[in-house]
Amino acid sequence: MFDAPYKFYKTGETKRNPFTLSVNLVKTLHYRFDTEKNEYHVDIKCYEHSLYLIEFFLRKDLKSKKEEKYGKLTNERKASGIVRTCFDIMLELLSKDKSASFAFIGSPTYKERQQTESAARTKRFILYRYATINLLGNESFEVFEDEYTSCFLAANKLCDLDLIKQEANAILKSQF
Amino acid sequence: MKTTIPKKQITKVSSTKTKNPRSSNAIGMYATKADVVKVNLIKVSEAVYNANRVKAYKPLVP
Repeated sequence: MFDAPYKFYKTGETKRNPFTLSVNLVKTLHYRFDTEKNEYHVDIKCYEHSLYLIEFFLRKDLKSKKEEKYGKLTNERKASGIVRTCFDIMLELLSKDKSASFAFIGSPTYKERQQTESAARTKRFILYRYATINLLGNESFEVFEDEYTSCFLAANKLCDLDLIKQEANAILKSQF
Repeated sequence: MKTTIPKKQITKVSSTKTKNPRSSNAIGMYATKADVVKVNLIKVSEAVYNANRVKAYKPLVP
């Protein structure tokens, strides 16, 4: 299922804005990749304690509202390739930072500016959880979830798991 | 004993506009969505882990 990643490129990084409220954010890494029909951007927010928050969206939604940016369905039917590409980017980060932990939120689907599913156990959350369990495994990572908010954390076992979990709880909460 | 403050001493320092309760990130008057949402990550249970685990996949991380 997850065996057809797309070729990705790093397009740059943004240092933390000193005036931002998000105090633990260190920098944001920017990647992009192309599917047959669309161009995607992957933003990886790097927080303290080697915690990375993964976000991806269509290039044309770069300045769209959060709901449209992360909750849109393209009907391209390339979800597995797109998710695998994001995991390949995560693995590249892991090769540079051995103690990296990864967090994400499975956004609810929006169609014509209407939320069409509940925020709990979204289909994105179910897919990302499935991918994390099968692609990262439990040898190096401990997996945590919050089904009510569709948040997920793959915490690196090289780190203090309680500290990473607390940090992730606060960071994920700030994303809503 | 009743004390009265002369009117001239009372000065308005600043005024804050109340948040539009109709805006998408405002719940009620002041609380934002992030104040209401609580994230509580818990370890994925063994049952959920095993239900999702497909033995045909070999994890990419050693």
